Parts: sequence; structure tokens; C-alpha cells
Amino acid sequence: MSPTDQQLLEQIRSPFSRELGFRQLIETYQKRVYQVIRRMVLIHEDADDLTQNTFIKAYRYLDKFEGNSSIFTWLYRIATNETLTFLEKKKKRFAFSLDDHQEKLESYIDQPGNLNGDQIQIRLQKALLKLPEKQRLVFHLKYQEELTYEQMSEITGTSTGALKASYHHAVKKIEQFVLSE
Amino acid sequence: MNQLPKIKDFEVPEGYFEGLPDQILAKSRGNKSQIWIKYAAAAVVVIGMAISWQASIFTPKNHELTTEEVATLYIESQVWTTEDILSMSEDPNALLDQIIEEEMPLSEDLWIEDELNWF
Repeated sequence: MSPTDQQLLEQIRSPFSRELGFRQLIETYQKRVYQVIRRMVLIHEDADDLTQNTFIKAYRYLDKFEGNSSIFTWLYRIATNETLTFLEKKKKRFAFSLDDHQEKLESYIDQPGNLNGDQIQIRLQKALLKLPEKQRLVFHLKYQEELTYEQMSEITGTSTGALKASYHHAVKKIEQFVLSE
Repeated sequence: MNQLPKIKDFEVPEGYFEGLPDQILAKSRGNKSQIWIKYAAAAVVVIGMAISWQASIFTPKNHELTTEEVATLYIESQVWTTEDILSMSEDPNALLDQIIEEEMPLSEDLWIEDELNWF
């Protein structure tokens, strides 16, 4: 059984069990954090780096975590910030070179063995790549993670109204893309 | 949308999640000790500068160019192009990131933006 947030925080705040508590926190959330990042960046090596950075930042700022939100919401906020910053950097870096990051990711999807799924999964992934990054993130948090708009608002610091509209736009674009193929 | 499946979880290399907590904990510990190393390095630099400043008072000026000055000369006289410099760098990506940061600084928090960006 996974420990509760309260149990984890108590362990982490005690100097005698800080490391053990943090290890438990990683073990509890690593798969979800990794998957939410991987869906955005696709490539394992990038997702690995960003997952590690997310937890390292969490470790550094744990003392400042006041417990106003759940640990999971807080971790997602760090993870999504790390991911969007990473994608922004990639976009700017690729603006200096001839390669296109978008093309690189599309060809990654087409390579056999990289995606765990059938044709419809590949189509869905390609449709998602057409979305702006933040819209893609909203789609994942709502459709895939089944978070409420209130949770998403805590994570992104954006109003629920803007998130609803963003999700609506994302769904319309994905439907159009999938139907047009 | 109801007919579309959920995206399946991505596969990871075997044993990845078993080893991840150890890797993160090792790096977290490393980060803490790095802070002390930074302070120590800063102290060494300050002491070094003080010693060399004192020494320079008593020795005649050396007109030989430093490696950095030679490199700057090559760049300014356009003997080296951007590609040359990147190809000579051990980590061209880090160099590119540095240039991008200097020329187009990232906002500290990507979320503090106009909500219109979400559409």
C-alpha cells in the first residue's frame, strides 16, 4: 500500500528518515511523473533527464512545500514547468539549425518499436504533435490523466475557463486530423 | 473523441524504475556538496587573484596574448566562423544554449503568460 502524503511528509521532515522518506516519494510517483513527461517529449532519454530533474528540484525545495496542495499536484507542476522549458529551449535551438524538432519527433513515432501500440495510437500521437505544447499538455492532463479542471488549474496556474477552452480546441483539432487521414 | 483509445503507457528499458530512485538520490546528494565546492572554488579564485595582483606589482608586464585573447582575435577577424567554434567545442549544445539564453532570455516561469497562449 502506498504511503499517504502526510506520512511521506512526516518522514521527510524528520532528519533521521529524510532520505528514506524521499526514496518512498520517488517510488510512489516516479511512473506517473515519467509518463506525463514522456508523452510530451516522446524520447526516453529526454524523459529520463526531465524526470530526474523534477525529483532533484523537489528534493531541494521540499522544505518550502507547505502542503496546501497534494504532493502529486506539486510534482506535476514542477514536471510540467521543466518539460515546457525544455521544449521551449529545443524550439529555440532548432531555430539555429536546419533540423526540425517536429520532424524528428514524427520520424521517432514512425520507427518500429518506439511506440507501444497500433495504427490508431500512432495517428493519435501524430495528431497530438500538431498541437501547440501547452494545448497538448492540457489534453494529456484531462484526457489521459483524467484530472479535474481544478487540479489542472493548480498545476498550470491558469483559470479553469481558459483550460476548458484550451481542451475544447485540442479535441476539435485532433478529431479533424484523425478524420481527415 | 469517445471512439479514440487512451494512449498506452510508453515502454521503458528493463529495470529502469528500479534504478531510478538511487540515481536521483545520488544526484541530490551531489547537488548539496556542489554548493560547498562552489564556495570553496570562489574562495580559491579570490585568493589566486589577490596573489597574482600582488605579484604583478613587482614583475614587468607580460605582453604575450592569452588563449582567450587569441580566440577573440580569430573570431573578430572572421578567421573562425560560428560552425568552426561549435565544432571545436566539447559541448556545442551547451554553447548554443548559452548563446540563446543571452540573446533570448527565457522567462523565469513559463506559466506567467497571457492566457491567450493556451489556444
